[in-house]
Amino acid sequence: MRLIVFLFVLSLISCHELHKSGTALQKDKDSLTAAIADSLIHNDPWLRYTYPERQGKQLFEQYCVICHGQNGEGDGFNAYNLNPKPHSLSDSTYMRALSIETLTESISFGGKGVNKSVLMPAYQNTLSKTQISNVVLYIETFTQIKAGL
Amino acid sequence: MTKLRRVYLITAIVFLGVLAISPFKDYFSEWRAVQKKYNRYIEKLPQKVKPALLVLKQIWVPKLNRIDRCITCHTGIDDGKLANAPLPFRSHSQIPHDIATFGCTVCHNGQGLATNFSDAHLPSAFWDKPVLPTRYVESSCGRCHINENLKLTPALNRGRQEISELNCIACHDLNGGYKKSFIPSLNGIGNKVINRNWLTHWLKNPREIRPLTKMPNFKLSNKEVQILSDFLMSFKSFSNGVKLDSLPEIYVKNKNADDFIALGKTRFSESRCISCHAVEGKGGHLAPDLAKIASKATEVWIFNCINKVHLLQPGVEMPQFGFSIKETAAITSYIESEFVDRDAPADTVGVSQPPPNFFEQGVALFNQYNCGGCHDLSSEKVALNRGPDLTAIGSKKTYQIDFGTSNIPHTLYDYIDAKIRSPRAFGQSVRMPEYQLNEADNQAITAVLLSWQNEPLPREFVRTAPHPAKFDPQGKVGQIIQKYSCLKCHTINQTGGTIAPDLSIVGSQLQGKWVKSYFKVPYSLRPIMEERMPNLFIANDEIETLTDYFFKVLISDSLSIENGWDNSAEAIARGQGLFREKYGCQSCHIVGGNGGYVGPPLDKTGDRLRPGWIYHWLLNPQKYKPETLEPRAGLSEAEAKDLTVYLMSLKSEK
Repeated sequence: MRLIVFLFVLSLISCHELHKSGTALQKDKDSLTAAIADSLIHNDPWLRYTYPERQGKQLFEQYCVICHGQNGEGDGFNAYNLNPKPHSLSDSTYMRALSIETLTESISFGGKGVNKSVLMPAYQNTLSKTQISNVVLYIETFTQIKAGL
Repeated sequence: MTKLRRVYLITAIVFLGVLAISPFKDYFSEWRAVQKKYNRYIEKLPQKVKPALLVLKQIWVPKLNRIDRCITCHTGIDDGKLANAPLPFRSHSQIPHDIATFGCTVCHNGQGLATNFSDAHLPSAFWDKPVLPTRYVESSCGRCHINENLKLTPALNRGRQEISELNCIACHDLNGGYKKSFIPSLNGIGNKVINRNWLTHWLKNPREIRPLTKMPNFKLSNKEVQILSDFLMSFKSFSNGVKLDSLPEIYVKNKNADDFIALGKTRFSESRCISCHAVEGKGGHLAPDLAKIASKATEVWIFNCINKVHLLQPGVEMPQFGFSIKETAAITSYIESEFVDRDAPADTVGVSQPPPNFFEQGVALFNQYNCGGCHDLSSEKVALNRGPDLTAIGSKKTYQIDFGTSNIPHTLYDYIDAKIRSPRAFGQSVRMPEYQLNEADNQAITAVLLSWQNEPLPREFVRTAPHPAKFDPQGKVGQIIQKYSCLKCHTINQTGGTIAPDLSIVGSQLQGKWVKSYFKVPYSLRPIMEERMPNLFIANDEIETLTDYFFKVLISDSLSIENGWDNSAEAIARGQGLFREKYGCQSCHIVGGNGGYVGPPLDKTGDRLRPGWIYHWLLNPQKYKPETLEPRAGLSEAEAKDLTVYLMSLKSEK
């Protein structure tokens, strides 16, 4: 009987010790996992974007980057030829004022569809409704990520 | 007796207890908790969403022999209002397939019948196909869409491209009709490479000498490198008995003369060698970097290579430029004076005597690493020694995989990914070389390999891309097209490269006079393009033959227009108004000194294009070039006519 009590106490102590070192270890591990996950999410388009956003990204890079720039900052290769220049799409104050409907309209009907510069062409005959909505979803991520960081 | 009764009583109670656990277990099952959580979640939403009924749900696809219970927990899978809900309630993104007819596991893998998270998703000893990570999910598209390069499968398309470029077919049996791409023959290498020292450094690590080379690193030991170098340097004669012409007298006399070198430099830049060959990383990447070529190849080889490249390297994609002997010699002298590796490693070996049995040892190594899979070498002893068949790699079972000394998770996709990344991590006996691919390429190739499975799919599900008809012009035109490697960059009737414009209907697009002048002095029409048309120094009679062919054969009757268009000054003014005010074409095109740099400048359109082409292009650009940036503006026919008339009025001289 004495032996059983002794073993019980011993196991309690050892478990306590183990638990203690375990939490410290777990903390280290968690921060490491978080760091890896963070770097992965920011570098890997498969984790960073949802499927429609990835489709939108692909379209944005094909059609829009040339003027709007890789990160939507209005600094594309062709931006300096335009007057007025494209507005930054990663400017969260500017973007907050634009509803999803407005963004969809400006892509579908071009700048003149929303009383802006005629230099932005209309894509309603080039892209399908789903494609346009995917591009809008991708454009929205410029400000979401800025806000998240 | 009472004892027996007591036993009976206890057994009865235990039995009842066991029976009672079963409904409890069902009541507290994982999926029920998930559905309850779902019902709590949708209550908070502003829109009304149908609640879950707390029952098991499944999709049965008899044709694919699948029963998928995924929708039991993935409750909102077909409800568009839940596009931003957390997993597992989020609705599926919009895809061209109907979930009810395809089910889930045919694309995503996982165990369809399982009703708890870990059995359904995670790898286990009893289930070989855990849920595919999103980065590989396109592999499932490739199971049915065989060789179809769809817009929605960019990773798959990229992987197929890489597999073709890296010449995987040289060692492995593959699906998808890959053909071996051009790899230089090693015949005559002993007369090409300047010394054995260069070869040893190259074999040790090709990327160190040329960072963008496709040749992988075979991780050879120093001894192996020495033996292979001795072996290769012993091959002095070229394919088909071609002999090197000795250097002409004009070269020997003038090779250090400044004006001779200057002539070579002029021709080198006029013919835009850097369209394909980079020099110290600047320029095209279709052909080897020339920055250190004079420290690699002998001058007599360089001269012969420019002079008769198709004879020296059968199958090479380099065009045969129309230089005279003097010009070729001058270019050689320019290359010899400029493209030298100033910090080339010293020749530490010098003229060394190869060991007596170097040939046997060399050919053994050559065969061991299957060098002959890529490189042609004329020797009876060269034998193919291919790697494993990959045509059903996607169906490999986990127990069949030798994970060797690596410590990766035991799944097929992790295995393929790791194997491509660092093959030698699976043990030293692996022969596969290291390709040092970037993350995206590695994932893309893995996705393609995963798509090659041997489980049969019902025929109505499978879509195979048709084999395009091969365009193979004969006679004089065929010879010219081959001589100048036109189809390396241009496509004609679905055959050829995608670097330069499609020429299938060029005769209906361009004006004859302009084409002839363009052959003489080609210039880049589109400033954003990297690679540019080289000046091939085509002979006049060849230009006549080609243009004749363009305007008689490469035409499309659908691009003709009726006569009698209104080309009055008013129509031109209307067209200009549409161009500037309504459609803002100047964002991308330059006219009269202002405009954007995306499309070609349109200042001399009236000298270059045919009105029928402009008109039909404006109505629907994507019809002729699906990947074009120009949006379909939705012009009316009258507007398109006015714009065409305006553009045709833009000429250099009126």
